[in-house]
Amino acid sequence: MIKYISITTVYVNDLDKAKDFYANSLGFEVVTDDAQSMPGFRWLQVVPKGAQTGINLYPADNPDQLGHFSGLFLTTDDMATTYSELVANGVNFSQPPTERPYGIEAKFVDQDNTSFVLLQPPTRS
Amino acid sequence: VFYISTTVVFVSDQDKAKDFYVNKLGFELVSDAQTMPGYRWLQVTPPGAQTGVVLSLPMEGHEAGKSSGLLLYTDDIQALHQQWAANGVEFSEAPTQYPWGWQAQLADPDGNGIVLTQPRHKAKKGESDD
Repeated sequence: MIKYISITTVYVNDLDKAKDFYANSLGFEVVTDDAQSMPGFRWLQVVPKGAQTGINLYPADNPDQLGHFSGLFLTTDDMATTYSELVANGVNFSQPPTERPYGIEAKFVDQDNTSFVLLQPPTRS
Repeated sequence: VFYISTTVVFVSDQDKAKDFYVNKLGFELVSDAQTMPGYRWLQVTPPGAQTGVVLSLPMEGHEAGKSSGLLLYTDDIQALHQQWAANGVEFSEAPTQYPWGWQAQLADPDGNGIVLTQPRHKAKKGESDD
């Protein structure tokens, strides 16, 4: 049977800059950086530490692929801490943590202005 | 704790997409609700998985059928291929062996590409993947 989604894709302009942002600013783990296996293709894959699903950072073949909502929702169980860490790392937030019916939501952009939602879901007790 | 909870696939018809992902691929329906006025939040996930998919009408700057890069992991690609083919799913690439393991490819009704993989190091115990 199908187990889980292992990878999703985010298009980027420059793989080295993207690697720096996702690894050093967001703190993702670089699980693959392989320019050898497939001629002409560098496979760069990052994943939130310990998470099931990661991201392939893929060179954009046209600028229209950059600067939109990535479609990715990142979940944290501690918005205040995650937000301060990311801000300290120089991550640019387009929306600070804000109370919503579905939790506490913030929005940030990557090095190519592609946006992400960071969410702390409501506590279920 | 920090992980990707959902990703988005843009579709032209949410009812058709729901039928495909739920009835043909066997994803679980997590949410189908008008959470915000004018927006239908349709979310599916592989049963038990951490990260799901939101099947959304295209947002600004996006088109249906252009989403790509969804890679699904299975521990038994042959069985899944048979099962999905029986459900009417058309594969653009039948399970094929690569240096990193097995791969098959399919598309959803809008043409969004989906890659199915069975990585080599995750082959079932006691079973050769050669």
